[in-house]
Amino acid sequence: MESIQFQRYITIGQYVAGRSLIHRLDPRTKLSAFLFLTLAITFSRSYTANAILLLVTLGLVLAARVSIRYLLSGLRPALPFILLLAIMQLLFYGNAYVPYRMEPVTLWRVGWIHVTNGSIQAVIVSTSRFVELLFLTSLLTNTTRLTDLTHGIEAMLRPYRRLGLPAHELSLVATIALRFLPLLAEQAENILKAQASRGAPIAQRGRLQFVATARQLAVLLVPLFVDAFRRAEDLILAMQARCYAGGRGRTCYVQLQFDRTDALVYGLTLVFSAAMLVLRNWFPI
Amino acid sequence: MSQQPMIRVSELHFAYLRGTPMEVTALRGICLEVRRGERVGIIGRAGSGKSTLVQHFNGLLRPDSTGQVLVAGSDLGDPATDFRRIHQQIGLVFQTPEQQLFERLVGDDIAFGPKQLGIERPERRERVRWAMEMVGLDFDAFKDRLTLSLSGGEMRKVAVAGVLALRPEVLVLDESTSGLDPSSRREMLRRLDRLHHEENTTLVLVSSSMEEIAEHVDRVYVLENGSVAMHGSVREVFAHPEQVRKLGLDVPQVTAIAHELALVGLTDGSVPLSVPEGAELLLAALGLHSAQPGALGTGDAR
Repeated sequence: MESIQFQRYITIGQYVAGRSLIHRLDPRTKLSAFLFLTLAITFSRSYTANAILLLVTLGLVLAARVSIRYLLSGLRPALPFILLLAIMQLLFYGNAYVPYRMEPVTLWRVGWIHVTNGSIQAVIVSTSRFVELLFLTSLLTNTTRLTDLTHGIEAMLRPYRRLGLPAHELSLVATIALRFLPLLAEQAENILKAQASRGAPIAQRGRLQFVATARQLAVLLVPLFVDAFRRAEDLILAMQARCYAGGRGRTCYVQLQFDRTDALVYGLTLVFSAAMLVLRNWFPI
Repeated sequence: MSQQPMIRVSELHFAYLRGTPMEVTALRGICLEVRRGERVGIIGRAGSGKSTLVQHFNGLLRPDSTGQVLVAGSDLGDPATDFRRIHQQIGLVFQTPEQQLFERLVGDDIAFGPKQLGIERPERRERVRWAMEMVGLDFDAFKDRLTLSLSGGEMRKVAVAGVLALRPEVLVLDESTSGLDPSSRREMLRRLDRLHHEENTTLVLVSSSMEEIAEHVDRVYVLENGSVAMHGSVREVFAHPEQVRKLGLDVPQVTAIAHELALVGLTDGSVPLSVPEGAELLLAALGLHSAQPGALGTGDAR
């Protein structure tokens, strides 16, 4: 058994200081590139497309000089979910699912359960998509300071302000949500520690104790939510105490710079993602 | 009394978020011993590793490969150790009370521990009553109060009671009396002293109040940057105010005054730890009253 440390496995929302090219990009560039690549990943159904996207994602991780081991540790808490999804897909997809460029072949058949080459494809493709998305999201937050991210989101939403979209407020909401992720993990850690100290059984690894876990979750989630609300209230007070007033008339201390590298990265990811989308039905397997 | 130490920590190293880019080293080779029935203080400036250290005492944090933590002889690095038993033996109260209460009603929250231990209802009720009495909460008035509606000080008391209800052999209080008003603080410490005398409960006090440490602890460890910078009896450590101040702490005011007086030759270098001791020393120095010889030893810290 290990120490109770949740934060170690939360890689999303955590800025990791660095000086790589990706760290230095304009947040707007990163956000757009993230959006483009996310679209490409979401619509990729073939092995080939996913292999390419996985390679590109890994390439970006290497370029950002973020440790892959660290990113993989972020995958760990998601493993049960991925596994559950895979099992469901194997059990229920069966003949109803039309695989990408394959004649459906039933590989296995037990009663009403049909395991086809299609369901296997679904499992592999969705798992790799999940990994790609997790890596990409982690990468975005690992290489971008939260304030930069806020400025980026706000700048990108600004044109829609004329339509009545509260750009500043929305970006603030996004920022706070991201900022609260590691805080919530820390909080969950504290509550679990307090409970373990008072004799509550600590979830044993490698065993599926659904009922016990669910019961534990209830005593964990309630105080967690209560604390989140309390923190939110404190945050409001702190913002008011510092005379915070929404978006109108607000100027920025940080002026974003969109230079040639940004244009290049923007163009490349746009073209690449567009190509992946257009060609998505052309890959051989 | 058994000679085996209650808690023995040797060469303990620990880093938070190990293996990630945010790794922070918190403990660097701590060695420490808490004997059965002893009262031990742990002090040090903020961020010196006090809380990290005490969370190793009941296995919430596990030592990095090199260090070892033994509780009554069982090795906490060994996965086969019965950690529920350790959690019952070593009662740990954390800093933030509002994060330790998770049941809706005060009574249920305090009963959480005994319930986990499988204790039957009537006995559980007795334990809750006893624990609430120990911290100075009226059983009938508070047992059905909502935990969320309590004040900060009451939450602290409930948090301590929740751990006391486990009847631990060692009680570790991580700044658990800070935030209480002076009289409830004094009251709680008095009750803890009683617990120590009557039931031979071992006490580990993490505190930023030097007065509290001086009056309620026998031995003290001073942490600095994840290592033990000073240790010895309270009198030995507080006999060196300059050294203690260098570590970002201070000695109790009465001790500081006696030290100043000793520098000008008015007193003999005794180290009073409480106001009555200080008064006695002063009276003796003024020739109004003679101090009992040897009542206040001179200290020598390592």
